[in-house]
Amino acid sequence: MSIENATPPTTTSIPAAAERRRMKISATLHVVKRILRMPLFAVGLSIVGVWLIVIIFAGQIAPFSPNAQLGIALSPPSWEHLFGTDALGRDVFSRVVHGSRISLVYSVILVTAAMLIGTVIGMISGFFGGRLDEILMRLVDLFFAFPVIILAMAVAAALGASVQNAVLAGIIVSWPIYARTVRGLVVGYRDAEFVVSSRLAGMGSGRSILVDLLPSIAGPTLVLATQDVGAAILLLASLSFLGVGAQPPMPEWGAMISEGVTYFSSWWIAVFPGLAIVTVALAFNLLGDGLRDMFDPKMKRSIQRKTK
Amino acid sequence: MTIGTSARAAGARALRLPRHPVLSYTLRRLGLTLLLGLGITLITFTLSALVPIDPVVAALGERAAGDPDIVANYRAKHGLDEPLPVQYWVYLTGLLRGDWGMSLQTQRPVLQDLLSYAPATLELVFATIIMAVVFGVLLGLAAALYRNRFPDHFARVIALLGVSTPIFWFGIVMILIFFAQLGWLPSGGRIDPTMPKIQGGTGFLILDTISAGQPAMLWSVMKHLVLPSIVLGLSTLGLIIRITRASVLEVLGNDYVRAGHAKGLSSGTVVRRYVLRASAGSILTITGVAFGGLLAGTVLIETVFTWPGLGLYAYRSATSADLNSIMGVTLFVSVSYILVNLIVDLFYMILDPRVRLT
Amino acid sequence: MSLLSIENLSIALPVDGRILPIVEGVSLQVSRGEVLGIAGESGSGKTMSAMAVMGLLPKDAIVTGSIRFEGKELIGMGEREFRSIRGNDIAMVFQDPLSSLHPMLTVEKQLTDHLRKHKRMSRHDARVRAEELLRLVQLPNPAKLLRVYPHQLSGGQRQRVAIAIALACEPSLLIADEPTTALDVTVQAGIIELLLDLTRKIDIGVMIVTHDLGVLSSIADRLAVFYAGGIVETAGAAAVFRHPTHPYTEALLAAVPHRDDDGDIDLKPMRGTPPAAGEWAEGCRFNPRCDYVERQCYVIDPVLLEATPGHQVACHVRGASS
Repeated sequence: MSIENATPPTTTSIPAAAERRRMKISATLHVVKRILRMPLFAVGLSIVGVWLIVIIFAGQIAPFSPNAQLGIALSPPSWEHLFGTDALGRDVFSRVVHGSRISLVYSVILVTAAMLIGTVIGMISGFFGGRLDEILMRLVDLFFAFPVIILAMAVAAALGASVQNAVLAGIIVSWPIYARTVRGLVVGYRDAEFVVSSRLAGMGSGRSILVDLLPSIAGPTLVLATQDVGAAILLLASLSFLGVGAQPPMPEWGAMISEGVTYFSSWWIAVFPGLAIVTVALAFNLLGDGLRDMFDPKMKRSIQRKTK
Repeated sequence: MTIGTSARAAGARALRLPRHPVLSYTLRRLGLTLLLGLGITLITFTLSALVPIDPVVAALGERAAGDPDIVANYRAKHGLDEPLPVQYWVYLTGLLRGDWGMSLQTQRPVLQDLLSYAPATLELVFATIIMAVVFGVLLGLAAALYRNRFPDHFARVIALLGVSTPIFWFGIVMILIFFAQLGWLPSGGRIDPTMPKIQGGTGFLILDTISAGQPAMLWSVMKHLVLPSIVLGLSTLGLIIRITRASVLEVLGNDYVRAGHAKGLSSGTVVRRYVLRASAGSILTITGVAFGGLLAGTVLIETVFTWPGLGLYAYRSATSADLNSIMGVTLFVSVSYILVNLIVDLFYMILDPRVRLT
Repeated sequence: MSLLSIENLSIALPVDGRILPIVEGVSLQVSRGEVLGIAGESGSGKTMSAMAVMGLLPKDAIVTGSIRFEGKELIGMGEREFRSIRGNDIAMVFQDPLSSLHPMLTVEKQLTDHLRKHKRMSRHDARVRAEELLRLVQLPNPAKLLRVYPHQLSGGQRQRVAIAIALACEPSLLIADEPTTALDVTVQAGIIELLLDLTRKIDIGVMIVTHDLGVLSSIADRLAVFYAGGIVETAGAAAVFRHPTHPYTEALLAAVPHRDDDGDIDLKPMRGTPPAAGEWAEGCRFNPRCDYVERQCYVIDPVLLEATPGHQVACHVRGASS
């Protein structure tokens, strides 16, 4: 993975406040320009933006309550029911809209928790090294020996089927990748000049982690997390589809698809929640790819070389 | 320095081979796999111990659990009153003896269930891998050779969809199109249910129908394989495309590719003999990694296509809280996964002389 | 007739929608039995010129001028016909043998695949020829060496194998791009000696591209010094080393450690850095780094003119025009 190869910068300078402010403004401009030059990134950003609006205004956007049984079951898409109704006569559009609050919010919670846990463990492992590092990394290896969905399913099944437990299972299977990545970054930066110099200047190891390492680690880790949101949405939907995640009548997208499996003639029940998942996962993958291109020093260098 | 002495000096440094590099590498890798396998059992054990459900009730059912004698007997037999490390030891030796517990839903030993369902899953996974590797390598190669042109864009879209599409949903969409709408392909199962069963085969229906000399049945098996393997293979296809593309691009930057052209070899020859040869290692490695994802994906795909394999078994176990079976599948799949990766690593050693000979 | 005759060669590459000139108006000749040294810093266009002769420039490169090899025009030649020349009549040795030899193929495979293609040899004949070649580049124990992979060889041995590969089809022109740069200093001398020995033994034209003047001083018959896409000085090697005329050549030579008149080791590093393509100075491209710069140097790009017989220099101040 490219992130693991991130080379530490060898020099850093401490600009004066005014200089720093000017750099900040020009850096912001630079980022905006970059985004405009990456249309796919902009597309991803817009899709996520639209979904954020849907999450906030779900109550206003959805014409019906997600669990209201409206009498007409399995009616195809019409002006009244944009996405049709399901076997219990619930409005699929309203359920998809409300489902965003479950799928997106829980996925972000999952990724954030996994990232925090993984980052802390990775930092401890990388910074202190030695036996502790060895044990933690072998533990990480062990988690990589399981196919993700299988382990998540086993954990979720062991904990009992609920959306909270599915998130917990997701966290348990997702933290190791962060631990491994962050450890790699810490080990790379640990011996970099600027960290060593601040240690020589008398800063303790705790301070040097916060001051020097966190900013350098944040970029690659956030890139990973952004891409991971897409994977987390798929994972949660899969667990719900398998019956070990969200339970009926919760309007969770994966659970809705599984309700549609048995109705081949009523295609709309499964198709629309699936499309919702695809758009969100696609958007986060586009965002992640774009961010990676911005952060990846290898990538940057190759662009510079090309323009030479 | 004269040419004579330089040649002698050069000769003295040549051809110093380590004693048994292949053997020591294989042993080291085997040991690592064994440790990993132990670790896996530790995790499945922990998960089983973690369960909020009383294992006695789960195993014996409510009625038997009401009888204190039966409960005490069961607890003693499975060492449930012992400290956890002893319980793990009982669990581990049980596993090694083939005692993987009883399945609640089938009332059969879990290991027996697993072995009877495994061929269906493996047939699906192998068919998928073959397709994903063939098309993935071709598309990835095209993407790298025609960078930023149509093949590259196409490969990008596939790779992006592969990581953004829930495969169980993709499976349903494919069924809606190719079964419900067009009627070209069956919606599920492994073979036309009206066809007679082949007795005492390997469980791999392609092999069984061929050895039974039944072309019509073979055709039916193939038709049933098409949709599940395409759907299951989508994300793996994307992965292999990405890795092939990246690897080929990296290889193309090497002087030995330019050297191949400088020898006057045709582009096709250079790609086949020089580029693919150098990329084969990364493709093989990622295929091993993808194997785990495919095995896991069968849980979703077999559910959609009612494919009577491990995945469907796992799904039914999960929905009926049949913990022994779930842990059995988890163990079985994870151990197969690390074994496949062991084999991949050993193959890699054969493929790359730098690993083999140093 | 020269073996290789380059007339007014220009190469440009499209980069980010702009067309960058890489080489401009280069003319060169190489005869059989002659070693032409091409000197210059990285980015001076020397490697690109060599690749143009091999027909291995990027597909979108814009090439004008003429490259004649044994009377045949190479620019615009069809790929199929070019392929029968490449590796067969014109061969190449690359800078780093660790990178130019395929790590997963045996020495035999790499020594014989073009032999079998160009000369239609059987596997057995090709192996016999391969052993002969390994002996030619003075490697011991050829039969054993054929079964070996590149990483099992030392750097010097690898470069000898690379030279053997280049010589396999008995080419009449050998292009060597920095053949010693990636090697240990102790091994370099052996490789140079080998190349020198081979050019005497077999009647072959050699073009050595390098930034290392030390290598050229011991091997080259004639020298062409590249700067920013063009030749600034060309003459017999001895003449250039004895009377470096262009300020750039002079500075290059001064930057090589040498003993001065008092017998002390002397070294004078050159000012500045070589310009990237597209960032060449107006007028004489060397003017930002030149010690002799005059007003006209900022206006007119000097052309290559004969300063003394057989010694051409492109300089307003020290060349023929002064």
